[in-house]
This record gives sequence, C-alpha cells and structure tokens, in this order.
Amino acid sequence: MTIPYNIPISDLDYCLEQLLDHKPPKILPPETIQHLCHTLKTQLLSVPNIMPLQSPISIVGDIHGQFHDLLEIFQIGGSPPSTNYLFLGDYVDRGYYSVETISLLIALKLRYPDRVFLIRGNHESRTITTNYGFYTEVLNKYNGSAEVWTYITDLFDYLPLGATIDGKIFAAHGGLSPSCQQLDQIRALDRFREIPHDGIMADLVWSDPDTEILDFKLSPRGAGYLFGLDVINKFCHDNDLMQMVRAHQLCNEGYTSYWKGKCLTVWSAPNYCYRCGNRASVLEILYYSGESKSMGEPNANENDVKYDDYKNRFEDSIVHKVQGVLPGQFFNIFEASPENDEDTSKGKGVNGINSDEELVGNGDFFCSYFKERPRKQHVEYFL
Amino acid sequence: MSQDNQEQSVSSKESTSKSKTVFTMPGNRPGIQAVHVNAAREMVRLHTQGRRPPSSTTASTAVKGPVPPLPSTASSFPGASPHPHVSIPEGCKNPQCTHCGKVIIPAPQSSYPIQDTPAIAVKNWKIYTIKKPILNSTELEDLEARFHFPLPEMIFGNSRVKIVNEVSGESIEFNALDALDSLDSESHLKVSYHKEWLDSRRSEREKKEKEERGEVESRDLREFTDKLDTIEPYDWTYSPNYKGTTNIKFSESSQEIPIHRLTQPDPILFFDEAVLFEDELADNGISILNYKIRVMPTCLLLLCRFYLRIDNVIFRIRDTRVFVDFDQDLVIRDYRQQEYEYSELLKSVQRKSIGNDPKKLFRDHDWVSKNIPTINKVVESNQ
Repeated sequence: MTIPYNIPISDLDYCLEQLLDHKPPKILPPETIQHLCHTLKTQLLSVPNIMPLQSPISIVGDIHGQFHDLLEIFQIGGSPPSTNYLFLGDYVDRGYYSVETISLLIALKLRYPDRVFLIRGNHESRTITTNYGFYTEVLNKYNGSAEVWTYITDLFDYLPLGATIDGKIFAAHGGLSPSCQQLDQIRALDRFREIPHDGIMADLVWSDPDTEILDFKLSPRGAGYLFGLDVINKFCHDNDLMQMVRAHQLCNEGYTSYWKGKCLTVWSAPNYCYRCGNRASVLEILYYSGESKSMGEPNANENDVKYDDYKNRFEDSIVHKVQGVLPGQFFNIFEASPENDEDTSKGKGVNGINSDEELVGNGDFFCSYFKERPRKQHVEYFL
Repeated sequence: MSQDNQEQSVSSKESTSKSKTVFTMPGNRPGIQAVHVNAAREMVRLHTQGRRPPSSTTASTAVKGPVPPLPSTASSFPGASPHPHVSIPEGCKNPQCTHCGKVIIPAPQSSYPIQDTPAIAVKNWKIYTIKKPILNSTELEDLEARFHFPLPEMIFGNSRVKIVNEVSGESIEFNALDALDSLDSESHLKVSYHKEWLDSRRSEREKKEKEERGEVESRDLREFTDKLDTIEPYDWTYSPNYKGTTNIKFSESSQEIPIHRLTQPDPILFFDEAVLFEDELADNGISILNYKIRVMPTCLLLLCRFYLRIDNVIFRIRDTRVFVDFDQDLVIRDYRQQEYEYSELLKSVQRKSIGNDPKKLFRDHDWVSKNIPTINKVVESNQ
C-alpha cells in the first residue's frame, strides 16, 4: 500500500520558479520529475474518466511544446489559481519545449489541484511521442537518457479522457465515437493504459467533426472517424448536453465553430511548428446559460468588431456573432509570443526539416556581448 | 536621490515580493539605473562599430591581433568574375553590400502573419519567393469547388517560388494548389494497423447482430454505423505528380545537372526555403511538400521535395530539381521518385546500430533520401 503523500507547497513553488523565472526555462532534474509524476499518478487514480467541472473556466487546446505561448495564455487569460484552466491535451511533440511545457503543467496541477485540469490527447502516448519529437527532445535535454520520457509517458496513462462543464458542455480532445452513445460508457472504461488503435478511447482523441456529412464516416486512411450533424445532435440530446468543445485540429483563426456553436474547436498553439503563421485562442466560459434560442451563428464579419464590442463580449454582441459561440462564452484570441517569433527567425526546424544545430554559432563579439544569439541568415549548400 | 524616492522603491519592492507568493509571471524588472544607461551606450557604440565595414582607415591604423582571412569566394569556374553582375529588380528593397556587391537579404521580418517577399535578379533571370501563413477558413471555403477531397492540414496556398526569364518569357513556378491538382484519384496505401482495426470493427458488428437477434436493440448511435462507409476515396497521402507549373518546352535530355558546379564553394547570393503543404496523416507519419532554392553567380538550383513517411509502412520521396545556367539560359529539370519499405530501412538502421533513436533519422529527409533507392528518374532540358 502506498502511503498518501503530498509534495510540500514550497517545493512545488520552487519547481514553478525554476521553469518560470529563468530564460531559457530550467528543466527539472529527473528525480524531481519522477517524484512529481508519482504523486500526480496517485492523485489521478481517484479521478473519474470524465471530470465534472464548473464554470467559470478557460479551455485550452493543443499546445505542442510551445512553452512561451503557454505563458502567453496565462498572460492574456489570467494565471492559476485566479483563473481555472482545463487543458484538452497534446502538450508535447513538435515544439521545442515539450519537456518544459509538460513539467510546468504537472507542477501547476499539483500546486493548484482544484484549479488546473488536464485531459489526455492523442500525443499523450508512447508511440506517438517517439515519432513526433518528445522522445528525441528528452534524449537531447537529459544527456541521452530516456528515463524522464518513461516517467512522463507512464503518467499519461492516468490522465482522464474528458470533462463536463456545468453538466452541459462535453469536452474531449478529438470527438465522438460510433461505439459510444452515453457518457456513462466512457465513465466505465478502463483508461489506465496506452491509447489503443480502436474503440471508444481511441475515437475520443482522434475523430474530427465534418460539416459535410450527417452520420459517421470512416476516414480513407483506413482508421479513424469523421462525425456529422445527426451524430452530435443525438449525442447531445441523449446526454442532456448543449455543446461539445474539442481541440485536435489546426485552424488559421485559432478557433472554429461548427453547426451554430454545437461543436467548437479551440486551438492554442500560435504560429504552429514555427511556420504556420496562424493565430490561437483560449475558450473562456464565464457562465452557462440555459437558453438555447440565442445560440450564436458566425454570421458577422470580423472587421465589424469595434473595440467597444469587447466590453460585453460574453453577451449577445457582435463578437459573439463573429465567433459563433453560446452566451457566456468568448474565444480569447492571441498571437505568437516574442520567443516563438525568435525561434522562427532562427530557422530551427521541426520534424527534421533543416534541423541545423550549427546555427547556434559563436558569432561576432558584440553579439556575445548582448548575450544573444546572432540572427544569422540561414544558407544551405543543398544538392 | 531623495528619501521619498527611496521609500517608494522600498515599498514597490515589498509589493513585488508580496505578489511573488502567488503565481506570478516573470518579467518584473526594476527601473533603469544610471549604470544601465552607460552600459547601453557602450553596447550601442560596440554595435555600430561592429557594423561598420572594415574601411581603409581602420587598416591604416594597424589593427593589432590576427585578422581572420576572408573566406575564399573565388570560384574555380572559368569566367566567373569575383563581382558578378547582380541587378536588383524593382520592388526588391534589398541593399547591396558596398564592398563586394553581394545582395544583403534581411532576416525574415518578425511580423505575424509572416510576410516577406525577397527577390533577386541575375542576368536574364528573376527569382521570386513569397511566404505567407496557412490559408484561412474563407480561403479554404473558396477552394471547395476546386478540390473535392479533404485538404492537407496545413496549406501554404499563398506561398510560391517562381523563376522567370525576362527575355524569353520562360518561367517555372512551384505552389501548393497546383501540386494538389496533380494527385492520383486514390491511394492503395493504408495505415499500419488498418487490418487490425477493420477486424475489430467486423467483430463488433457480428456481436451487435447477435444482440439484435436476442433482444430488441434500442435505437441509438449504432444505427449510423450500419451505413458506415468511407468518404469518397482520394489520395490521403497527398503524393503529387508535380514537376512545377511551367511554360518551358522541356524535352528529354542526356544532359545531367552538373554536380561539380553545385559543389564548388561559390557564394550564395540568395537562399530561401518554405513549406508548401504539410499533413501529419493523423499522426501516422508525415506528408510534406517543400522547396529550397539557392542562387549562385552563374547558376541556380531549386529543389522541390515531396516527402512521405507512413509509420511502419513506407517512405516515399519525389524530388524535382531545377538547374538554371544563367550564361546559356539553360534549364535542366531532374525528376526522381524514391520509395522504400519502412521495415527495410528500420532493419538497416538497426544493423548499423546508429544511436538509440532511429526515428530521429526518419525525420531527417536528407538522410532518408540518401538511404533509399531511386525507382524512377527523368531528366529534361529546354535546349
């Protein structure tokens, strides 16, 4: 039997300080990560697969290791514990700071367990992280040891799969599953495992909405689903829900509203992969309103939004009509952090394109005087 | 400094330390002090000094210490003058180095959306590149009539590279949308766990049929799974058959791209690279089309590469190289296809036992390209 044990708050604050007060952020030692992961695992054991949460809460989509853009979110949307946060998964892979991002989120979750909530995305998995960068990043940052990757991916198996907000909004990473009609079917799953290739657990983190169809369609890739209007209407009706909020899909605007706000995509990685130039957003849910008749519809032009409109952004305003959200909701849109910008101009690559470590040159003397990396123009004698 | 001021600074320090106890953001900096101002002045002095070209005056004042020898830019190519004729086209704001005539290409501007349109002209040839963010939802909607299949996750539809001969009017361009027009109508490839996935679906259906025989099934979401079928087949790997959008009359040629001219250390007047489209195949690998271009005093090389990796299935590379000789207005186009089984490459990596992270190599397109066989090659020229 494990003895219930909590890490002292001062230790957690120290971890947060290491990550937040240094530039570049200091990574936590492997023993600390092990400790944090172990403690969080014991806490997550008693958390149900679908967490019942209440508004007000801010919902964050994919982050993908863009640590500085995560800090940007806290900057614009308020930081825990003054703001409640629900993260929809995909914390690691692709960005340069997966280790720092997941470390910060773990530390925050332990520090403010009633304010920060994490659910699982498709990248919170062993196979995916070996293919898309997190594993490699751990090897690079921890002197070739995969230990930290093991602790963190083991922790991923304990993350819950979804959440409800005020019992009316269902939040998950991907979408709905044809094998799942009732939320109770998700609640009954044994989630403490690697994400399988099929079944409810896989579909929850994989599937996408599609406005062109009504029912479920198989993806031509040979695995995975698309779901349509009838599916979401039936699911919402059967489970007494108003809306589904999910992440998983990149969009230039940082958010997408489907079917008059019945389903929302929130995407929180601006300038994704340091090259997409897209915006990102956080979905702020201030309150839940029982009225369904004033459901938003994206029927207004973004250019019509005046600064004053933001005063009553949660009410029936033009902002609302542009974003296509329900009353009490608002997509807080933001752009990439200056650090993201910096990484972009350095031309470091993601997923293996032009991953030129040489660029970190010693540069001229005044560059080192400025303690900055020289902004060298990348030139390559490719063949 | 008056006492009041000191008191104020003390009290402000107290307040910052107080706010530190909650989760604060980094970046609280003290005010500017005189010593900082002096340091800043010194930096500016060093900075401006460092930027100044090594003029004759500095040479006459006899700089102490070893002067690093200038990198040899002398080309072994006969007729290549050290100061080639480099003209700047209209609209190109790039300054020339007063010293060597080299075109100074500025680092990408740190603005979002990223917008930079560097261009260069050498002899009769003009080279344009445009890099823009991914398409937004309005632009994507406009494409619905042109493409009847789900488009890649990231489409840089406004990015392009174009090479134009101002005299003859010959031009060749590479862009994402034309590449997507060239896809096959479907792909025989499936993801690695496709069979497993289908089998599990089949067994689920059998189970359901049994249930139906035994008891009255409530009408639920499963009714949709009866009609479950894939959406219209399309090439979900996005493998283009694209050799550029061009008006050049190419004919098959025995004249290969002269590698020796590309391997000599000619100065690169202009270099650029960009992604045209990219899709992560729902985390089953990657499908990406990108280009790289480098312009030397007498020739240029453009490589437009399609790279496909389906995890545990296949690697596929389709390279289009365009070589232009500025003196002879000669254009050579080299198109080659490479394909290899995923398992075969993994085996050969394991045989050579290169590191403990083979998948890192699989993200390195150049490495993969060098290590898999070519299955098809076509060389064409305009002469």
